[in-house]
Amino acid sequence: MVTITVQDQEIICAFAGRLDTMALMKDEMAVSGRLEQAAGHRVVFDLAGVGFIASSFLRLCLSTAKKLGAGRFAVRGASPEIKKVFAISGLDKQLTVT
Amino acid sequence: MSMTTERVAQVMAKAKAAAGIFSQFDQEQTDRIVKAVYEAAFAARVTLAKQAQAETGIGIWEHKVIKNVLASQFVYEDIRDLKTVGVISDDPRTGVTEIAQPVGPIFAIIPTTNPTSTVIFKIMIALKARNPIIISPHPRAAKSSIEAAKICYLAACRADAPDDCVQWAPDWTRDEMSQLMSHPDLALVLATGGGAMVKAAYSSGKPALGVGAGNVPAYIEKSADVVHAVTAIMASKTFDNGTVCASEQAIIVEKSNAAAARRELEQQGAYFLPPADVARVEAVALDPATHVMHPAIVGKSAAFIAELAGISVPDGTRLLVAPLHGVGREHPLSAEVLAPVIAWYEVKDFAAAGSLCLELNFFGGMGHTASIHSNDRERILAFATLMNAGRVVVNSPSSQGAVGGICNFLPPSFTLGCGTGGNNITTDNISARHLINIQRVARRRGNERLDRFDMNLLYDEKLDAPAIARLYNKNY
Repeated sequence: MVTITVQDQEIICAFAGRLDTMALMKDEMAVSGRLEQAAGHRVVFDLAGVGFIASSFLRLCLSTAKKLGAGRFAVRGASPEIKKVFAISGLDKQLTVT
Repeated sequence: MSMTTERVAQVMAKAKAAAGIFSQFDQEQTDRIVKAVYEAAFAARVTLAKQAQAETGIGIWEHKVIKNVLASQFVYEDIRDLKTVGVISDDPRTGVTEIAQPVGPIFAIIPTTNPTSTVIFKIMIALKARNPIIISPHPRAAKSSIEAAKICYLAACRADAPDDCVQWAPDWTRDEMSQLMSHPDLALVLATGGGAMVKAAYSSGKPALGVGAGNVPAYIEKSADVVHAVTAIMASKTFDNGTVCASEQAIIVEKSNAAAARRELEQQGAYFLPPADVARVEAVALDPATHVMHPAIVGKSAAFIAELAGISVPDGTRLLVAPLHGVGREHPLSAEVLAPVIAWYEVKDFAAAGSLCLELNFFGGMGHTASIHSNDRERILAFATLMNAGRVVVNSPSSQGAVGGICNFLPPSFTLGCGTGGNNITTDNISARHLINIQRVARRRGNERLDRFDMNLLYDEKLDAPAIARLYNKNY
């Protein structure tokens, strides 16, 4: 379940739990809907509460970065294990992952 | 960036993403995926076998069913309980803990002779080790190889495997294959196929697990049960019309057993070629310029090859036997022929048999497989020691024996390492255990001898190795 908040100029999408394909389907719709109104905002995916991500989440990151421009999108709060996923996939070089 | 490079880049990007997702999977999740692939491939064993035979015109579909069963059920049973994720061993005494990590994206070259079974096998072992795999089918078997890959991939996805953990393309160009094999993000090449392709894999600069060519001597030693031996050879050499690289290429029999062996072979459907017909079969079986077997006869029936050679053979002939008197280029059928054609040699004794088998072994089959039928334990070991072969198969059909899991406890595999003799890194039957990186956590442990040894003694040149060894091991 994703919780979306706005702080300053940032739309923060805080994900929680296990982001497998099924779980992400609902979250993806909520995020996409909110991104329609993201003009001027920076978007952050907060993964502090996430223990697993599926392929579809990587795709969501890539499509979001493409839509907004890499400078307006970041992944934050990833555990070392999730950071490893970004490192192995090489996406840590295309996206801002902290 | 050219279009070609673009496609390669996309495939590799997807493979890397799959590798990243896979890194999170535990053993239970991984095993669930492998089980799903096994069950789906097993369910499709007949369809895929028929499709492979129809597309390539090679082999016998009923035998390809058995190959698909080996690749799915037998491989699954072999790797089912293998630990491939996380801690795989822990020794409190030595303080060494071993942790399995995936190697990363694998590029898999598939031969035309086993186009569906090799796909199933390679996908099973790659996924068991949490590695994405890119399938490169043989152009003459692309449809059936890709069908097998799709079936495996869809089953894996239903078991929540990472997207794109199995990829394929029907039409990789040579340039693309070269790019893929040398891509910085590729981890390993699993190269099963012809010599040129295996060499290309080794030249890619990436680690490669390849295979070598075979030229398997089958020695019927004088203590052998001749009927048992001939039955095994016939079952092996006619299996899928001789397409297994571990199939027998020559029968070597001592004169004392020769008549009985010949009689039994003929009873079981072998036809001994007269000298003039040997030459005719040679002409269609091997290219006289390259001395390599002609693709037109690979995996074809004995009757087909006889007709191609313009010779008549009795109805029901399953194997063409060519009596030869030497080994080498002057005797073309002493080389590997992946078809139901086999050389026949009669020798006077064990020593002569050993010499001849060695010649055959070194004539294009180093490191692969040798076969002996014998009830003399010492001679079996003497023969095995003489051969340069990753597998010495005893009292068994060589094809089924070398691939493992059927009539012995070798790991079932469609990639048979041939060691340095075959320009390979290992003589093992390749399996999932070769597709993991093993990390070793080495905790500090005392070394009693080193702790009390005076290291200054090492600077005294008057002390030689035995003297130092005495002091180092004192009271130990």
